[in-house]
Amino acid sequence: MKITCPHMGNLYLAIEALLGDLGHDLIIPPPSSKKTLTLGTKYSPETICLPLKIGIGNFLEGIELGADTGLMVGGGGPCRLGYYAALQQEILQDLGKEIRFIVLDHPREDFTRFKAQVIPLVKAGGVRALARGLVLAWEKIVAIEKLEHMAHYVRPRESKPKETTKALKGALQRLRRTNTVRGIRRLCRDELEHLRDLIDPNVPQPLRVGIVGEIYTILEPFANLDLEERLGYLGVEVLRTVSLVQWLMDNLILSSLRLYSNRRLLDYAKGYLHAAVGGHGLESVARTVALARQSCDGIIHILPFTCMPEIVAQCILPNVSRDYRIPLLSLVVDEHTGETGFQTRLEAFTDLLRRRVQGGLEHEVSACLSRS
Amino acid sequence: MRIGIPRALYYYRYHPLWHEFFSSLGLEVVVSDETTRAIMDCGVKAAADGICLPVKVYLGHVHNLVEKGVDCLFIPYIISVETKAYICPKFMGLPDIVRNCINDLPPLLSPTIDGRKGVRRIMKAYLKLGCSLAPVDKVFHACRRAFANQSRCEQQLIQPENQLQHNMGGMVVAVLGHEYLLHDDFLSMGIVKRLRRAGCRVVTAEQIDPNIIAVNHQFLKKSMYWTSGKRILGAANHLLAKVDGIVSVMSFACGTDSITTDLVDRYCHRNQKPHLVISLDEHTGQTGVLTRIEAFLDLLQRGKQHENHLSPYGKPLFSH
Repeated sequence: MKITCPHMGNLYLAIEALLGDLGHDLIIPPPSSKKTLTLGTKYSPETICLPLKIGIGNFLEGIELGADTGLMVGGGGPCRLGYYAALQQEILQDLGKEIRFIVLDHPREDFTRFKAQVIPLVKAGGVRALARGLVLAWEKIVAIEKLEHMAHYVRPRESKPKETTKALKGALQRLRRTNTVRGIRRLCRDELEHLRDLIDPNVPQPLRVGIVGEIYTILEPFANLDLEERLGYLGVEVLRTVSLVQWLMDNLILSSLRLYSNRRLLDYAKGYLHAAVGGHGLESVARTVALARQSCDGIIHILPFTCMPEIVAQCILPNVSRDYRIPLLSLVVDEHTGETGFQTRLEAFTDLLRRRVQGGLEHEVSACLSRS
Repeated sequence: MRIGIPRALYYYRYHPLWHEFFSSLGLEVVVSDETTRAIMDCGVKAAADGICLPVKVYLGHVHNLVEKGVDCLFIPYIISVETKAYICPKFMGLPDIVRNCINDLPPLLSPTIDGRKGVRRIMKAYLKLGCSLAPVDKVFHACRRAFANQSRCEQQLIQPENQLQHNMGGMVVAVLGHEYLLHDDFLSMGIVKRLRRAGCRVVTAEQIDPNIIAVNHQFLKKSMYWTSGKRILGAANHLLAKVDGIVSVMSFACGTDSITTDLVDRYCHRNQKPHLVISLDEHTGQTGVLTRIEAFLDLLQRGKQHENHLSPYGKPLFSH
């Protein structure tokens, strides 16, 4: 089968490893671009969230490259993501693109359906290939995350400008070609070392800004207009709180074993939010509190326009920010987000943080807190 | 004790239950005033800007109750009202939204209503809430009466099938949307009433037997996990062949409606059924909406007079 699936950061590396072992081709759609978004926006419902629009664009571009099957995750709500696959099928059907869909729901919800979806995937390769593919994919996800975290650490401290991004890109390309567990681990270790070498020891401690919010907009650089990179160049060390490894661990592995509990998150969010609201809404609030306690300099909350769980968090976060005296910037992204305005807001925000740190202006609280 | 209930969101669905429950417990129920521009503006000011209109209006109603001076406010965490289904995430954190957006609140009564694992859990949540307000024997009695009242009111709304038949004359129009939009005359600008006044017979989703809806929503590629979405899509599928046209009323930035309205639009398009989408927000002007409704009714009328006459501009009417 020629399978295509939407982009989410560098996740395609892992999916490619998994499908490759199973004997399928992954048609990687071209990296999300203005064209992708224009296509997606044209054919999607008007007020749906950004990830679906970009996803539709990815599918259309993937189909253009010859894909005959779409791979998508399902879900059981309450966030709209759970209905993405069904809606995408309807949209593509109305456009006359007859492609087959493989939708991976959580196996605990409907096991027979899950099996029916997985069997055509696994048939060619067999169970052994599946196991090997899963291990490889997992290793790659872990490696990608480690490398990205290191890049966030190095970027504000780098000796030569833009060197980190280049090194990270190279590392990911080499990771793509590596297909053994040992090879991936060795590569990861070497590349981390290499990234660390780029640090200029004379650079003073940079600002530390935590990023919370919706997982897709955090992981997909096109959706957040390269937020993490921009912050790095502004001399900010990014603390990314959302982790795909953690998310998969919690929502697939631990929850299948009925071991997952959000007690810790609820403890953190106590006094602000007392229920899980789907998506990453509770996480956003809990992690903001956690970061504020860890002497982080500022928080950036990023969400797609009309995202249901994150809007709940958006209503609550100004109060966290006021109580803990930590500046907060809420960034809402959609297809109309302009680069310049985005950059200006980030610059203003980092200026404010720097003034607070340097001038001891602890009492100066960011403008977004003055909401009455 | 005076207990305040905002006249917004799920009040429009569960007011028989809530009124009966609290008054049987011997509490005085105070409901906020009907929505006005002042209430809406107040809510708009308090809320984060990206949130949907009904929640903004809800905040306005809470403010209205605070001004009226109630002893406590009833704002539940509603996770789910039926098995294997959810409500919109904003309902799941509603008390926290209210607490963080409005200052100087009276104490909140916020039971967690979660019926994902059976309706009995919902009953339990009310029992627990009741026990903190009144003696136990009274609570059981109140609960029973409240739930009976709720199901009686829901039954009363259901219209017999034969009401829908064409030969009764006049046009039959289905109006689909959340009850808290449709039945709030200020927000929906009285669309239902206006259609009735124009001589249409109006059908809404709550007039249809829940069993019919359950059967009719099975055609979907994936079963809908929002209670409201289920009702709207099930009703749309059931009514598609029976009505002359469908009007969808949604609020801008509503998460669930962005999907359900789009699906309804697709089904209408495939079945050549006229479909009008009215998307409401705090800036909506009445004149524009009225003009669109009139134009839509004209289109239906012409379609009836000349068979197979659909608007010649049919294609561009749809966004895809």
